[in-house]
This record gives sequence, structure tokens and C-alpha cells, in this order.
Amino acid sequence: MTNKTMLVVFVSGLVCFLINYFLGNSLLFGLANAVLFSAYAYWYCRTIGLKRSWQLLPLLALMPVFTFAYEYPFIYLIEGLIFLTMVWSAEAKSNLLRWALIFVLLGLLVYGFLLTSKVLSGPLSWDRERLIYPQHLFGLEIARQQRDSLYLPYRARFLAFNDLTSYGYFYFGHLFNFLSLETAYRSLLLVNVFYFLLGLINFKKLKGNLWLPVLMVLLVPCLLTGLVKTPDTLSSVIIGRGAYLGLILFGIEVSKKRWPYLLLWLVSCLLILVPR
Amino acid sequence: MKKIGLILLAFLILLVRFCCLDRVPIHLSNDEISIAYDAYSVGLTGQDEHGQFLPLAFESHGVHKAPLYAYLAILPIRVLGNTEQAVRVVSVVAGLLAIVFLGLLVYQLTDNRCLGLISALTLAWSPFHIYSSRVALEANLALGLLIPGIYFFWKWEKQNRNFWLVVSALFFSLSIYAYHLEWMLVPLLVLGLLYFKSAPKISFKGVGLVGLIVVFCLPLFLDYLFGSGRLAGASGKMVWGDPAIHGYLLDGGNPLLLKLGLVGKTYLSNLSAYFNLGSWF
Repeated sequence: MTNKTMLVVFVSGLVCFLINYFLGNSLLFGLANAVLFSAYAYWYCRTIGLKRSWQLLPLLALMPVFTFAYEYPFIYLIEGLIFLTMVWSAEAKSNLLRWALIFVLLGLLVYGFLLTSKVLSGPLSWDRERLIYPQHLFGLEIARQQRDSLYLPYRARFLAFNDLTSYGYFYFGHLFNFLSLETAYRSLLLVNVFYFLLGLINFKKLKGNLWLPVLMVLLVPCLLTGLVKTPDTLSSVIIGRGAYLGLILFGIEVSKKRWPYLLLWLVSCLLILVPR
Repeated sequence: MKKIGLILLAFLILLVRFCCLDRVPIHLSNDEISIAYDAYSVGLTGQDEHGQFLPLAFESHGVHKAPLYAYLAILPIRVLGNTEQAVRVVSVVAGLLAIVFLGLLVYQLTDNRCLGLISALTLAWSPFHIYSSRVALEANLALGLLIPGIYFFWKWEKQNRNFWLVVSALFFSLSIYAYHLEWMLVPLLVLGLLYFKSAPKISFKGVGLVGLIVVFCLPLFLDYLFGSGRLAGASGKMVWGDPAIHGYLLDGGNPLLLKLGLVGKTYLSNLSAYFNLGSWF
């Protein structure tokens, strides 16, 4: 890593902080967002060996997931721990330690997600009503599935609609209602969605032990979102933002050219500025 | 043995599309009734239900429908009478055209007969296509004309015979007459096909294809620009036809870039809702 890269990481952290400040976030949250962004950016620059994408870091600092202030400061502590566990597990020398850290990471991700989605509002205070299953909604869903099943022949009905599939349809319906293009560009900006997908397609080219922690941070919050009744767009994805940043940087690195990013970035800014 | 299997499959495909056309779906929808009545009326008097002589957009329930379906339904309605089957049979034929030409297109592109057959059968047995082929649906007619258009385009590219160019242009143009969505889809598709075929230099015949489509669709364009305004009414269904967006676009004080941004954002939002996988479950 050169001094230039370090400078750009610092400047992008500053940009992140200033944007947070101008958006009216409190100084503490703005600082937390900026520090986390810089930490992730620094780590990815070091581990992925970025050659092209590091110059674009100040533009990446404008991603809505890094300019969103979650009202619960404890989340930032959890996210800091998630970052450290990611780093340690990717750089652990022994396999045993690595897997132990991966399990810690899993626990932190689940705990962090439950907090951000407000299913858990204190150490032991569960709000089961925020989940999709134990409530009247599931009854309505079963009634809908009973109606749908009437279109199938009697014997085939039990294959398509049984205890297992009923839960599955309900869960996946919720999950995919949330994981849409709109959610993606609202939380990452349109330009970053494209490069995120590019990074995802080339995911297996990620170096060394980096892929597993990144995959965990990416998948665990996404999969858990399907369990929440009304997930909030930015609150739900905030825990996974480290993985998004990594894949976007990797996507830019794979694409080889920078000018399409700049062009698409301008379009994305235009989309943010429009009134609706 | 193979031939018998194929004939049996073809028979089954025909059966699930033609069988009980009057009862499944259980009755004609409002749109189907409107198409049937317009076809019946134009067939008898040359005028639609609103007294318009040979219109290029059929008004029904406050919207303006593309004209081709109603015109094609005239013949079956004259032959079979004013029945459910008569109005739906056009869609069945369009569905069969889509299946056959999809198979041929994939065969043409891959030189793999098996792949072509699998593609055609996949479309033939997909529940959505069976359903949309059994109702008088303009979108299904447009699809049945669009796929042959692409097929003849590739045939022209392979054999370089101008005849296929004209046939391709004809099918593309007919699909524009069949459904409003094709107003946007066909130009993008044709330009895309031409780009991948003849880039980086512009081919003279490629320009010819575009020119032919423009000539074939001239009545539509002229009606849109200078006609009764009925087709222009159809554009009210586009993103910019939404009253909230339309108001913003008409406001002279708003910068052009933001107007474009608003259309783009609404488009993305619609696209996201359309490809929402949650509705599959």
C-alpha cells in the first residue's frame, strides 16, 4: 500500500464524515460511519491489492449505507467487532482459530441483525410481533395457500403444499419482496449495484481466506431479513455494508475501466436529486 | 419412433390450446368482449363501437387498444360466428407461431436441433404461455409476431437474401401494430440486433430494415402525430402519463435533467416491482 492510497482512504473517510454532517447526522454517528468506512476501505486495499478502484473511494463514501445514522449507538460497537472478527478470521494462521472466529462472526451478525431490525430491543426483550411467523399474518398466508392448492390435482396438492413448503413460501415471499432492485439502489446507489453484481459474479476470484467472512457478512443479514415482518431498507442492510463495499471495490477492479463508473455515478446522483 | 413422439407432442400442444376454448378461462374478460365486439362491428360496418371508421386505436373502458388483434379477429368471427372461440383463436395461433419460431430461432443460432426442440417445448408447456394463448391477449399476439421477426432477421443475416429482410421488417412492424409496448421494444431490439451484427460500421441494409419498419408503421406514426389523438391517448399509459409525473414534466421551472431523472427513477421503480421475485411465492 502506497502513501497515495493511504491519503485517498483518509480523504474518503473525511468525505464520508462531511456528508454525514451535512445530512444532519450527529457528530458521533458521522464519525462512527467515517471510521468504519475508512477501516473497511483500508483493509480491502491491503488484502485485495486494489490497483484501480482505490481512486474512486471518495465517491464510494457517498453510499447511503454509510451516510445513514442508526439511532442505537451500540450497533456501531457490534459493527466494529464484526469488522475486527472479519479481519482476524481472514488473516488467522491456524484453521481452528479461523473457524472459531467464523462462528463468533456468525453470532455477532445474528445479534447485530436482531438489534437493527428491532426484534431485540434490549438484552432479553424480544419483540416477537416483528417476526413473520407467530401472528395472524401466517394464518392469512395459510388461507391463501389453501385457495391456491385447489388448482392442483388432489394428490399433487400435498407435494406442493405441506408443513415445510408453507413456511418456505411465506419466508421466501417476504425475503424476495425485500431483496429487490429498488432496495439495492436505495441503499447502495445505482452505480454501485452494477459493480456489486460484477464483484459477486467474480466472487470466487477473491484472494485467500477473504471469501468466507465476506460471504458470511453478505448472506447472514440478507437471509435473516426474510424473517422480519416489515424490514426497513437501510436498517436491515447496515450490518452487511462491509461486504457490500468489498464486493463493489472488487467489481470495479474486475471491470478494468473507471470512466463507466464515473458516468453511472453522475446518473445515480441525478436519481437521488429528483423529488420522488 | 422419434417422429411418432414428436407428432404426439405436437398433438398435445394443440390440444391444450384449442380444447374447450369457450369454457376455459370460464368466460370472456371485459377486454376480450371489447375486442370481439370491435372486430364484429368493423367486420360488418367498417366502424368500431364508437363509430370510428377503420380506427388505428380501439377505445374501450377509457383506454386505447392496439388495432391488430381486432382486425385479425374479423375473419374468425365472420366464419365461426360471434363466439368465444372465434375471438380467442387468434391468440392460439399467435401462441403456436411463437412456439414454432422460437424452436427455429434457437436452432438457427446454435445449429443444435435438440436445443431448438427443448426451447420450443419449454415455451409450449409453460403454464403462463398456455394461459396467455387461450385468452384474447394483445401481448401474446405481439410476442407471436416478434419472435418470427427475430428469426427472419437472423435468416437474412445468414443467407443475405433481401426477401428475409422484408419479411423480418413486416413481422416487426406487425408486432408494433399488435401491442403498445412494442413501440419501445421493437426499435431497441432492432437497433441492438443491428449493432451486434454490423458494428462498428453502419450497414446500408441495416438502415434499410429500419426504413422498412418506419414505412410499414407510417399510418400509426401519422395517426399519433396528426390524427385524432386516440393513439396519443394510449401513451398516457406510459411512465410519463402518470398525473404526478406529467405535472412535474410540464412545469417549466423544473430543470430538464431532473425531469429526465424523475422518469428514470419511476422506470427503475416499476422495473423493480415487475421483477420482484416475492410475487412468485
